[in-house]
Amino acid sequence: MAEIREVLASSPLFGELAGDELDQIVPLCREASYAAGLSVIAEGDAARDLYVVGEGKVMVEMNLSAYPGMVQDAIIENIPPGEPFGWSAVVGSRVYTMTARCLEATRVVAIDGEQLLDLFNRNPVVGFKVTGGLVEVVSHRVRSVIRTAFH
Amino acid sequence: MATIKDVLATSELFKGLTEEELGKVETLSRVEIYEKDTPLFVEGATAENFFVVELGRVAMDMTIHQSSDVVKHVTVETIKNGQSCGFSAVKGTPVYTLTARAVEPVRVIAIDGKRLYNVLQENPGMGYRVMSRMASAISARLRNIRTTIQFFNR
Repeated sequence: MAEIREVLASSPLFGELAGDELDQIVPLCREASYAAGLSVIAEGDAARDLYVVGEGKVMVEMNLSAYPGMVQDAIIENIPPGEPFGWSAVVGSRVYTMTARCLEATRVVAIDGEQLLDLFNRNPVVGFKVTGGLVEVVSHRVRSVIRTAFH
Repeated sequence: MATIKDVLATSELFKGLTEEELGKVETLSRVEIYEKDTPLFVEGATAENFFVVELGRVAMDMTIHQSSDVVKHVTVETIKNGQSCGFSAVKGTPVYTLTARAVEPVRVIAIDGKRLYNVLQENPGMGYRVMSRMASAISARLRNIRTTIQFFNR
């Protein structure tokens, strides 16, 4: 897989960061590999890490309940290299709202959510840029989900 | 009647800001009233304003093209006092993704999106807190849209 720094630099999440700001994110990261079929995160689990896909394919799925007691998994979308998932580690409930499963052998960069939030609080310029990047990523995903489903 | 600053201070995006920070947002804000069934904004239109609901309920509607000649409008979420809509005006592609429609008479705070972004950028401490909450709110809306689509496609 490309170096962690390269993966981060390729992600729209970190697109606004200057080089020295990106360098502050790298120490909070680790690489992880998953075989096809394995889950990286599971819906309902405590959200500890934010992920960026390095190589491979990840799909996200969520439980849907048409009525109480009835639960069904729905495949929502595929996440390509460079794209993030698991952002509940830094915004919202701190509980994953999706399951992310590997469609093939996949490598990801995992970023420690608590340490990233600590960095944001110490350096709000980085926090503003990354959360702004997240707003763009999620907004883009909203458009993508609607376009894919109905157009 | 509550002042604009009072409404902002209790809203999901701006609660917890200091008086000074709230004042910066207040200068970009104005009150608007919408009658029942009128749109605050329409899907595909240029996104200029961001809205905080003060009173009433606002439906967030998505256009669904079932076939070339059958179009439906589905409500993915209904927001109420303290909640926000029109995020596209602040960050990202400046075109509204959904239509916001007053379900009943509605009173909102309309905020110039570009000027708000500039204020947030110039004040990164405040900017980080607001942008983080915005990401959280859009993320919740994304989940609602996904759920709506999945049920609609069954």
